Amino acid sequence: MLLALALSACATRERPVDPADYDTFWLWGGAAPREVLAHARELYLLDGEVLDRNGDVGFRALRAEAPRLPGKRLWLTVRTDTLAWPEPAYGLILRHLDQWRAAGNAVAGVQIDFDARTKRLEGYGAFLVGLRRRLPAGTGLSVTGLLDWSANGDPAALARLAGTVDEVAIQTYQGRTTIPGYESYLRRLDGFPVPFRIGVVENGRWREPPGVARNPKFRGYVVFLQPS
Amino acid sequence: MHWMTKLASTAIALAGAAGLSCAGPDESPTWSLTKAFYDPYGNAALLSPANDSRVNLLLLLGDRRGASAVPDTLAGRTFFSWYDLVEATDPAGSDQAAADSFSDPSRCQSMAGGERDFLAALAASKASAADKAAVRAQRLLLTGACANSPEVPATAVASSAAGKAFARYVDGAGAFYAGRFEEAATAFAGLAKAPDPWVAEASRYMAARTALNAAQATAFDEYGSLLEPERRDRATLARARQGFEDYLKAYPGGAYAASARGLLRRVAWLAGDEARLGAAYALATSARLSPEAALTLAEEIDYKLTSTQNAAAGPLLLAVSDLQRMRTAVQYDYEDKPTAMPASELAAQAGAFKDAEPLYDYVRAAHAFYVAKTPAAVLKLLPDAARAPNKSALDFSRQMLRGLALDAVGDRNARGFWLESLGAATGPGQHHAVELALARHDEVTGGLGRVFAAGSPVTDPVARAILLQRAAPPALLRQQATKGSEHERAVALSILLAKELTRGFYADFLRDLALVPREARSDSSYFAEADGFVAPDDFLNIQQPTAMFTTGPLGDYGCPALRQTVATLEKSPLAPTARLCLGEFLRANGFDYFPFDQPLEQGLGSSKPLFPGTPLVRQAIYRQVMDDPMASAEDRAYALYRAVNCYAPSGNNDCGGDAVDVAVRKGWFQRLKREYPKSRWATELKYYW
Repeated sequence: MLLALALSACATRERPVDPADYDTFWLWGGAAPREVLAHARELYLLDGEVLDRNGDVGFRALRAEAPRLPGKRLWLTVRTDTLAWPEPAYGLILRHLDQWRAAGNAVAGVQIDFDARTKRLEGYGAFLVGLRRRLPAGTGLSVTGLLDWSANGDPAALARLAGTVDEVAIQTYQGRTTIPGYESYLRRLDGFPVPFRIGVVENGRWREPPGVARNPKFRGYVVFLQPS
Repeated sequence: MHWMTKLASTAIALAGAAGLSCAGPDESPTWSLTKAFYDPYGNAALLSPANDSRVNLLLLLGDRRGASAVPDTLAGRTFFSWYDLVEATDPAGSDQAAADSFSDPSRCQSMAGGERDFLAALAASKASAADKAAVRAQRLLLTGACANSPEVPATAVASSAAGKAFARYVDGAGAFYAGRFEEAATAFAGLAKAPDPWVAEASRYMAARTALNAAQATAFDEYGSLLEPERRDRATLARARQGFEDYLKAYPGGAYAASARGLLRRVAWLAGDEARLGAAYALATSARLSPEAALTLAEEIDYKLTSTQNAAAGPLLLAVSDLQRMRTAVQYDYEDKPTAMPASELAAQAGAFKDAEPLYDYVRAAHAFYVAKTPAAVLKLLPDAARAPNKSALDFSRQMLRGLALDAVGDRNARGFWLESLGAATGPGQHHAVELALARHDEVTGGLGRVFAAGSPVTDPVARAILLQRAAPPALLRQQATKGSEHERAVALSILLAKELTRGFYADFLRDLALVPREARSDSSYFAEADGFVAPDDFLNIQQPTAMFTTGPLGDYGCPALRQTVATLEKSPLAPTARLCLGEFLRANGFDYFPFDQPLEQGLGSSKPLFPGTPLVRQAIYRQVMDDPMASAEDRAYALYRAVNCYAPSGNNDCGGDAVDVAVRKGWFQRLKREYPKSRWATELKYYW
């Protein structure tokens, strides 16, 4: 169901990521839409955050209204730092999914950006199974993965999510810069069982590692736009 | 933080993006009172650029009320987060707000309350009994008006004049909730002079609300974000403002007056009318507010008041904004460095502060300290009043800044000033703040022993632990390993033993090992998980790893008890097997990530460590043993095996010391395979990294 959308980002030398070369983006609340988005085909839009604050789990909305972007493929992204979602949290996400679709958008699915403090994935699989079960048929489930060697970024741990998620978007940056050594990490994705995208950061250094384009599970790039 | 569901400002969204994949001292403050960056977990009971702006505002609103904004339940803490403060101020409220955050805010929030008011007014009205029944039934149908495709109930048939007015009001309410604002506006406009007093009042309020909602409905772009102010419907917003102002003029104590005032702020916000918004907040912050009301207002202002130079907002908000603009540094290097506020802008604010001179002096002194870095100027602006009792947050802040400036200029009486300040620092969090200042003063002036002397006023266990872990020399650690509180003994002893072990002080280690209590439990993950950053709230609950040294795991090389390994090393420090066993102990107990060899980057614990020696790291052990002609074949093979594994699986060196080139690692791998082909370690090693 997922399309490989990346334009060629091949270059023999590392160079800064130029959004003009790509057509899929993460758009966080603070990033104002710019011209580059006019040619965007697919967008991950941050809807809000489910956050644990001293044991109280609540929602912080980062978007006031449903987007109205017919013609683009949208993902409703939710950041969270907890897996202990109360039932109303799921209800809210499903409601927003409805609202986005009612506003005329083609919503591919929901993306979870789990920012785990503990960096442990215990319970993450079960959480995602539970979320998947609640999602309407035909709604995709995407997760972000960190490019590091914690459990949260360990390809082996992420591979166990196969069958539950439709894709993993692997973030190769921290803050505003590309994490050095991303090539050796990405080498480990040979045989990775889940379709994946590679998240790169606008203006971050990037060179497509050899073999990535031939990886049958590679679904292209997502560019994290630097808030202007 | 924002459990009142709302849009995030750009700054909040940015923070979210930056935190995306960030590992670090997540929930730990920087133990400093002079930090010039926003420290979300490091708010203190004094006004400062490092505090969350909402905390600074609450401190000032607490002064208006004549009480501390820091609840007693936080009194035992030097630092706290905004969430800590919210939770401590209004525990039930914060639970409720978290639960409420899952329902999207909308005009439908008033559906239930509106129905209640309406039905009560209808029952009390002059409408005929038949009309009452008909109109009542019709109002009850409205509940569905907020659904996605509402059905429009037909107008109720009424014959009495009052009944007709109520029926018409239901038409307006139904159109309002269904989002047909023009229709609602027509209905409410026609009812402003209705004979029934409730219908007349509520219709005027609802007419203004209708205009507000109509303007709001077109205020967002295709991404769901607010349009630029100039692209919003300002004419309709002006009508809404006029409507609310007229309502308040006609009904100053009306049933919807409080709501109207709040919505006027919303109108000003949507219109981008900073002057009106500022004036509204100046009024709101000049009142004596309950702690809960202050909390709600601080949240609202933080989100809504975006202009940083809004003189109309009054001295409190101006001061809060000024302090925020005095942040000259960042906590993490990937954040953008802020541009500090120029002194000229501060000078231009004299008029706005004319009724708040002490606050203005404080803000100017803060600028001198944090931005201009001229601490001598602070001393001129803030006279000594250290002993004055019952300080407000502002008075306390003024004295703290004076003390910090005395330290900065190296005044010889700085320590005396801090000691004098202790007695009057009675408000929640104040004593701990002075303790930190005193501890830091002693740390940088070579007086660490004074912090731990009998009767020392520095009692905060976290501040003391930071000094023990980062700065203390062996003698001081040994002293506190026997004299401190039970928890402090464990802190001091585990650090003492750990550092003796890695610095080759083997005789001292063996002697001090006797101090480990027999009942102590082991926690071999402590160093790997401690991160070296101390969260203040549960510090005393964290088990210190003293028993690691008597009962901790010994690794995979068949090593004897640590005591025996160290005894061997005491006699011959380079004994290969014992060295490897020391390496095994370090590996099995998380020493690769031992955080306490380095000073903290700033604040308490950032001075040069007084513990002598250089820590031994595993890679150094392996490189020495692999080339040691006296070492057995087995030892050399194991050294090679472990050295290669230092770089597994990422290619990064986990064993300390400088990373070697991949060619060197390849050489180790090949040497193991070539020279010790039959060893278990050669067989087990399949790759190098």
